[in-house]
Amino acid sequence: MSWAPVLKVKNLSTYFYTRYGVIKAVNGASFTVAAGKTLGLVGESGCGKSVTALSILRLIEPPGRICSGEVWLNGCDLLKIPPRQLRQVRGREIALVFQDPLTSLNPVLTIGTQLAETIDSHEEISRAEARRRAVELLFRLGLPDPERLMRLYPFQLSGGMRQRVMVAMALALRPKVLIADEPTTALDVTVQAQILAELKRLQEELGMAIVLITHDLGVVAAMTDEVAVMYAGTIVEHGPVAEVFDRPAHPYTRALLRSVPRLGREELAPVEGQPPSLLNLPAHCAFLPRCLQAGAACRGEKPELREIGPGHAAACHRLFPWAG
Amino acid sequence: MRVSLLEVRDLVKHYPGKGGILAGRREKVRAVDGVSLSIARGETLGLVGESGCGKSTLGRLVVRLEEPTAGKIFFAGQETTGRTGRKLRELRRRFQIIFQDSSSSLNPRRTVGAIIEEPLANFGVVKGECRERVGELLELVGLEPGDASKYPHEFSGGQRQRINIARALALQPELVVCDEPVSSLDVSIRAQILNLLRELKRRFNLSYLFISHDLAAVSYLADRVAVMYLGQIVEVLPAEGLVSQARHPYTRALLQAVPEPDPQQRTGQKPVIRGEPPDPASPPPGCRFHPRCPEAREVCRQEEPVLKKVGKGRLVRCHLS
Amino acid sequence: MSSSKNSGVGVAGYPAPVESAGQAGTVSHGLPGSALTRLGQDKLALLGLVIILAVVAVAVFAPYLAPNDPVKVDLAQRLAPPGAPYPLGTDHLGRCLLSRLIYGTRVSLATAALALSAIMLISIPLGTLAGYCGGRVDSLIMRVVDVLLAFPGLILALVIAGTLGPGLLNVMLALSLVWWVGYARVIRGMVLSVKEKEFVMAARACGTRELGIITRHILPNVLSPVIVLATLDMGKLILAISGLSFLGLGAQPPTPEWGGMLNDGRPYLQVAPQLMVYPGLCIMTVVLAFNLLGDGLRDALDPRGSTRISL
Repeated sequence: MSWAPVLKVKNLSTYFYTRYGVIKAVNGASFTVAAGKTLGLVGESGCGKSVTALSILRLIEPPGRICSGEVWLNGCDLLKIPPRQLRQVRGREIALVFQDPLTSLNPVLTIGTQLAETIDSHEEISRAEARRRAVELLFRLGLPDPERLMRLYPFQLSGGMRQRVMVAMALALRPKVLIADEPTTALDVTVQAQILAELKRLQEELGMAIVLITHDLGVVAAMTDEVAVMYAGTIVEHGPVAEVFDRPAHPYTRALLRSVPRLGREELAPVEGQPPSLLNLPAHCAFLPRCLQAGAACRGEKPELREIGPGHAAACHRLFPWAG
Repeated sequence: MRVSLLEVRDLVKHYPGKGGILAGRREKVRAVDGVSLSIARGETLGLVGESGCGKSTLGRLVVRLEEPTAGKIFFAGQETTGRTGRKLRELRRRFQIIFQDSSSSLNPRRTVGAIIEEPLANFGVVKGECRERVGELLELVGLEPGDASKYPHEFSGGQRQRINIARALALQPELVVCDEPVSSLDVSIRAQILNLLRELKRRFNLSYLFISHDLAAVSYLADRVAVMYLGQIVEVLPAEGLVSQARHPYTRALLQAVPEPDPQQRTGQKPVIRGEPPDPASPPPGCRFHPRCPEAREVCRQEEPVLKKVGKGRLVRCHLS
Repeated sequence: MSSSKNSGVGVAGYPAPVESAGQAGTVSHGLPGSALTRLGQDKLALLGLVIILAVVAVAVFAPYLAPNDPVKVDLAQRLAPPGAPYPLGTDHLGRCLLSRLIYGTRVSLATAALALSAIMLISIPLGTLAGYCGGRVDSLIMRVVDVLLAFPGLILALVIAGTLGPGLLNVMLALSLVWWVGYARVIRGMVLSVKEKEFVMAARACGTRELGIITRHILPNVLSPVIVLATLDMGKLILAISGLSFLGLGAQPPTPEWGGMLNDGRPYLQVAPQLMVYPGLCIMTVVLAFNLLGDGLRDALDPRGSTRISL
């Protein structure tokens, strides 16, 4: 496996300062993605996976603030570069696809206008050329009759078509990294399968890295090379997808895998209890109250992410009884 | 053979098409277009299909929240269609519904106690007894009797769904329609609720009409599965045979589209069917699935197939089987 | 920090805290208790509330607070400057200005409150009926609303009050007849959206009668925005009543009323500007106070302000 990371996130922390207190949405997350590879960022709602995505592009609005960390892309730290340069990076180097394509598309502009605008805002080409490229992109995403599609408004498209348009828009400038935040969650399975397949194909063509944020372990298994499991703002397990699914190390990962209904499986073992409040996270391991394997060490300091196998790391005291 | 608790015959629900003067005349939306099914006492029928196939409308028709355009519904041998007012209310206590959105199905301004009490009070349970029953119901669904004084927003999504279940069970119904009860919940919470529903079913010999787009969840709870496409049922089969015995191309496509949480099973990701379901206002002629069907032939474009029996408890609407 | 194009998106990506707000839609999530706590944190709204309470107290205790009889004429002391028996001076008939202002509080507040009650009494049932029943009932009520809305409100009120003849009661009547339409429309819209909520369907499914659905499920979820509107409108109503009184249609002499006092003072603007300045200030203060409170209430009852934070 070639290991040249294009995107490197180090110790990222994003907090929201609300009137109820500080919400530690992301709490020291680190990961890397290699060119042409896909990293799955999995976790339940409120675990900080979407905030992580927004933080990478510095799209956090007050009361939220990126408190610390580094996001390295192309040898520069995105969290430090001036806004001008950042605008160049957004779209051209990293693009974002959201769950709900209807709110991400401008309802009063045609698909063609929006796509062409995205292209010629970053590149010195004529409008006609931009439109030609837009048509080609739509065609490559498997959209029928792209010429006609260019003249339509977002509300005239189905959910699946809108999401394809969003993907087309994100890929218009051939970014090095695509961050897809639950891109197929709102779609039907048959449509999801199609869009995931298109994504995979385009990834191979363009050689881009994908950060796929999802709560669906099935999508992770089908799409990703590496997976990072998030819980309460931290990454608790990280490793090659086959490794993590076959030999999950963190109790949360194991519990998560056991709680997914599968075709033809008889018993489900849910994780009991609720995720902790991000308002007052405990000093110890955040999963402790729901953990079935907890021991005395777990009441101590929060566990660090440590390597347990080739490229496989987990943050759990029970895996390292000799440490800490 | 067991007596069927619910019997639906040729149920039709059409909505007036949208679009006014500017849009011109539009065909009516055929949300449910001639559905027949039955559920035995203690049985769970899973109803799967993609969004817009009419499965939720069917669920609401069954509990009489919507008026059918045509067709008949029988509950425990009594016809519910055509009943209104008091005659309908008397039957209402025997069938209940749980909705997908656990937060919008609870009135934000009422306490959990008041919410669960409501069905009891509606059917004349006295105040003191109500309170006791509310406590019992909360414990039954895994909450504390003390939670009765709290408001819905103080609970998480999973807990709110438990409150919904408690309200649905308050009148000891025989049939519960579960309309995507776990779709908006997190993975780990989803399993908790699925297990709770399963346990309650065993305990009270409940019948469920379990509506979901999640085939795995359906196969976990259901005894039989009915697959819906564009307002019609295209296949009915026993849940244990879902993977191995599915005959309709649509059912098979659905099964293959579900990503299995197992990286070893990654199969080249070739989506079996393309496109999206057509507009239910103008379903295609012939077999409604033919434009997306990988096996469509001439006959599929011409003639509409009928739902025919292909084995014990198995029905398929396809020319090719 | 972020481009404007994506500004809406930042919120969408925010984790669970906003989840319940998104789902709540137009239905306000806050309970009276928590809404009050939030209101308590809003300094401007509190200021508004304090002023209103003070004004109400003045109205209630007017006989004890007023130094003189507000209608007693003392022609010898016409247009007297502020001084010993008359702290703010006297008007053109030698009546105590301060006492008239104090008693005027009663008239202004009571008229506005009564008019508002009448507006509510008409608009809540009609708006709810239109929204809940739909169909012909809805069309009928809404056509009446449309017709009334086709006229400029105050002018129509002026015409009605003029036809009925001068007097506070007629002004109240005129204003209520004109004012209810806006509320009816807003209420109908909210009822329409709440009606579709699943908790209403759930209530129907568990055998709740239509009346129970309206009173227990729909109205409580509709009323809090109406309360906000009503608070904001109290100020407008006081202004409208004063305006009509200023035109001679409202309070008749010798009843002390702020708008009427403005009218009375008009000819003497050059010699005794206080005759117009003080009633004007009173109107302004009260209107401002109601607006501050209304804005605060709106924020406090906003579902986004009360979202569940514990995850």
